[in-house]
Amino acid sequence: MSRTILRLKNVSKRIEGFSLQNIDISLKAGEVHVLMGENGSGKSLIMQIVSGFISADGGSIAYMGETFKGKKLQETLADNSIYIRQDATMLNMVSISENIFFTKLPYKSKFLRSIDYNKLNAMTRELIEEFNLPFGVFDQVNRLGLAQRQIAEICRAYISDASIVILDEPSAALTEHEKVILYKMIERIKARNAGIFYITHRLDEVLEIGDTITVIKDGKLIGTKRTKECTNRDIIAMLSSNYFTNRYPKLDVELGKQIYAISGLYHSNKLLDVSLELHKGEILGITGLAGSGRTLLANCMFGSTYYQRGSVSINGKPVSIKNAYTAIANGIALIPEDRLSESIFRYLDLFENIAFSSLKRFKQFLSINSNFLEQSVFDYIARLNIPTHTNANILEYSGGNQQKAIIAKWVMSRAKIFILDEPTRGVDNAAKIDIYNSIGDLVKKGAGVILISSDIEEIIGICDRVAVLACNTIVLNSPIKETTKEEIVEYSTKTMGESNAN
Amino acid sequence: MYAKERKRIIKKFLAENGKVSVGSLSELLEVSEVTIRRDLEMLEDEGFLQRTHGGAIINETEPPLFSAAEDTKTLAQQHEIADTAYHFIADGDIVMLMHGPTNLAIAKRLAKHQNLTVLTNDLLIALEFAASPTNKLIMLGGDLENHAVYGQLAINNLSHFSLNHIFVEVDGITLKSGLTVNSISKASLIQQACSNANIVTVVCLPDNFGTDAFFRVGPVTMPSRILTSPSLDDRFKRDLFDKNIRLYTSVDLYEG
Repeated sequence: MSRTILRLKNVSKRIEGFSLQNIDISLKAGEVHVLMGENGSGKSLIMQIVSGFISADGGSIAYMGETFKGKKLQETLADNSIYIRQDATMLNMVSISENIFFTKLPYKSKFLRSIDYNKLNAMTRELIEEFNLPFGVFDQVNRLGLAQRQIAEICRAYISDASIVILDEPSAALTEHEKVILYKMIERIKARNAGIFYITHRLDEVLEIGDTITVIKDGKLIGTKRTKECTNRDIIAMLSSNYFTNRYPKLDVELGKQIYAISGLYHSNKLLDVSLELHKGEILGITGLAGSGRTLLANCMFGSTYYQRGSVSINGKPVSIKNAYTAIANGIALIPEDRLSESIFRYLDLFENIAFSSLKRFKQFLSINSNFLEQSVFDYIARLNIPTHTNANILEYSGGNQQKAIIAKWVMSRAKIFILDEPTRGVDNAAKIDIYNSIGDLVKKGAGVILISSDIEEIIGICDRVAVLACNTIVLNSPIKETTKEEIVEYSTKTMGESNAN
Repeated sequence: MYAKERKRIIKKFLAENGKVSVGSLSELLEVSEVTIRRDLEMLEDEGFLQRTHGGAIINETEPPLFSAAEDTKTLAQQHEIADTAYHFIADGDIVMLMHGPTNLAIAKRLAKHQNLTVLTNDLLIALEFAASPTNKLIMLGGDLENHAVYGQLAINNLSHFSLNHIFVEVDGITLKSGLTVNSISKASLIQQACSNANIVTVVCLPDNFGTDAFFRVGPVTMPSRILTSPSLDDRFKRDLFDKNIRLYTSVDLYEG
């Protein structure tokens, strides 16, 4: 029986708009403990507590059998853990070897802090040869691709002495060959009696490398199981349990004619042969794991990324969406996933952000009819229940109100086809209600909506149809009434091998 | 080009002030008085206003008996709610509308459907459908109280019907006390009627959330959905979503 490194008991934590409740989780020496759950379920928050980054509000945490409290606990955890995040946090302008051995640099003289580069390079070369790593000793980090950086990050976990190793979706950007390296390193980390928390969305990985699996949902534990004792089906059942689809205000709207269709859409091996159609009054859900190409597809549909092959038609007539301008002219609106960097104009206020896409309509001779524009914008603000503070910058509004302002912008521009990429991520539940009801208003008045979301309950709750992206294409396209959450989860976790076999 | 938006602003202005002058609208919207007159003419055809010399007043042709709402804000909310309720119902449905001012607004809108069978205990709602030749009306019998029938007779009457939909207007909603109304006869009739219906829609104006009337109808989780206006306080939206309740806020945003 291996030793328990870490035990969390009844741990709770409340942050703005979210809370963790009664988290019981433990990590044994030499095990890979897989954490699964939807985005926003609280996995990262638990890991922040485990790594000593933030403190818990309640419950007890024992490290190596000893219960610590307060500052001492945070220090102990911080000293004995390493947290490898998804967004590689490396120093860009220095070499790969310095990055990997950042906390363990060999010095010629401790006093003068002069680094022994010969030794450092030898250590890195040894590591590269041992695992056949896809980079050289002297490569600079800013020249490396995402996958190479990810591998280098994992090297940091491998060479560290930390007994708690946290890997947050380490394989998301990796190819099959690179995954072999990852798994080999994981075996070696296990061999030195450290425990690994492994966050992933991929089912196949759970049974391949996991020893224990814990599923989290809405800040609560769904269950913990030994992977030896479970099958794919059991995990899907855990992932699909406890779900709420009754709370979505869906309107039954009669579907009209086809207003939008894409066929054979292709983009540089990331999207192969994607075909979809959208009808008047329809809400089409698109889901898929991170990295499945959801956002790329949204950008192709909006013309902000040019699809290399394939055809698009609007109201039955073929059109070429070369850029966002042609998309807007054809009545297509996109609400991007990354609200702060892609849809908000930070230096403009709420009013200007909303008016932005509709200025042309308020043109009067050579100027803008500003009285009329102002009245119209304030009308939208009132209808969406956005609080108005005088002179408040858009950044001072909550995420939910920012998102509502972006919806108002496109509604005001009278788009006909709305592509919403994760419109409810990071917004509070009250704003979610407003957003769902606004979507209902769009379709009841004849628009078509494409809702891209990783929240499968949301998709089941308000969409008429769902398309699942995996293996770079649409693997499932079904009316909501004829599918289940289990089926959607199963299809979205499909991997290349499986789909070829089918 | 933007006649729709202009009309919406004129409507809003009228709803707030009750009357407008052509001159002030022309100044506000920076269009000619001829254009404003044309807009007002169209709105008069829609029945929204009455033109006067040099302006217009909001149309309040209905005698006080028929219009329970005192202020234009409530009227606008009821109008939006009715518009969403219209989409809950399909032609041919069997629908019951319980007594209430917002349900009266819903009745006016539902009368535009075809082949509905409508059951009601409210005299004013009955009048709306009496004038609609394409829908069938069944009026409950019972003791008359504030233009609606209640009592044991009405409850017995109800047992003859099985309903697809029922719209219930309540006087208060809180998480703790649930759905409440201000008379015992109303509460017991609603309970009986809801047990005969497949889909229960509870209608409540936003100002009545967080208040308790005296008589309890049932827990907040009883209805299939709750229908209100978008100005509902965020606190209730959050709580109802957490309780797994479907909340429709009848947002009127898009112009199609």
